[in-house]
Amino acid sequence: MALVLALPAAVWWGSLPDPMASHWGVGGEPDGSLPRAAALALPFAVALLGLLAGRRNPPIAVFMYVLAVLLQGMSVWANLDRADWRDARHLPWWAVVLMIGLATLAGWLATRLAPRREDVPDGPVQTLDLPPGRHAVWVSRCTNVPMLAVGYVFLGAGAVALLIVGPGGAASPVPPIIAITGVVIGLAGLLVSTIRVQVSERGVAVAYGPLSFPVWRRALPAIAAARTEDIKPTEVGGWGLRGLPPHTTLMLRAGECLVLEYPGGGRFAISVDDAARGAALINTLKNR
Amino acid sequence: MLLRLEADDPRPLHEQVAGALRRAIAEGSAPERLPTARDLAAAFDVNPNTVLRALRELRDEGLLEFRRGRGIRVIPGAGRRGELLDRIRELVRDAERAGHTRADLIAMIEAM
Repeated sequence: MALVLALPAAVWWGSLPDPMASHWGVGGEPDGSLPRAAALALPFAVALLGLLAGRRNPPIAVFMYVLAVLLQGMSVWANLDRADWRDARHLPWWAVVLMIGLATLAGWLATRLAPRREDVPDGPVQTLDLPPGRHAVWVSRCTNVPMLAVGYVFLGAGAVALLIVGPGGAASPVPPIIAITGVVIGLAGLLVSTIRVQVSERGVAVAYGPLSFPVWRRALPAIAAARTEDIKPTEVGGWGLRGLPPHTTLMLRAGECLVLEYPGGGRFAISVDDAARGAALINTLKNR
Repeated sequence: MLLRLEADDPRPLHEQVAGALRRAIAEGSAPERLPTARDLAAAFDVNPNTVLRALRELRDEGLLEFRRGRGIRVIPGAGRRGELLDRIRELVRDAERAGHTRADLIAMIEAM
């Protein structure tokens, strides 16, 4: 695997300038350089990082490795046969988007193709002592404060950039597509950085984001059982909404998750405080 | 936090909600920062004003404190106080049912 990264460096070593262009501006012009050896070693570091982070999560390793190969390929191509790094070929901003897109696609394929980890439930199915006729509800929440802050920053920066552009103006130094991407990333981040979970006779409801909107609901008959499980972000591929239905995780922080098991397979794991009481109430109300 | 409501409780709704909250605080199931009145109302399927009334009741009992912009907090040590208040309330109810006035009850306690 390292060979693929080393090959372009070894073959074209003599045709590359020293230092090499290693960074490109928004307009695509090279605006930063690194000594040749360092620039060619950088993708190795990316691959190594992916290997370490992806030990328990193959898709992350695949994503990082593909990213490293593309990085190496692009940087060698841009610098090839140029005497000075300032003359390196231009790399448009969409090359970066394409690169991340391809790496994500590879990671996603790995998720689909990799054998699924068998779900070993952490604890037994717990219930509560609740005499017939008595009502009970459970409410809890979970917030990842740094993630919430990052979400607001993205949303704010994107909105400001869009306002500068104005209705038809092209005066902004930031392309509108990047501003819109910022707003979208910010909104998506906010939705999964603070959640409220509620259990009652009507079922389970998960309200997303600071505005508690949208709300996801599932009736009790559509849940086979509820348990708790300790899950780390590295086990599910990071933070936020992870995985594909019917096997998803709403990851806000490492630790206690409320796990809803679906009849006929699949499960939804939700990072939330006090999950044990919530799981026990779901099982109790279901058995009535 | 887990909130239980009594079966066939004749008390007004806001008192039932206050009772459920008092019990959750006593059991230690209530987080330091309480869910919002809106969330509690949605869970209980009652009007938010009913929940607010219950929350104000608990604040007046010294179990909760309202902080502007920082939500509703459970006062440290409120659990035991809430438990005691709940038992006293039960005692007063039992005494009234048996025909004793509150003054009788106070006299009984003082004579102990």
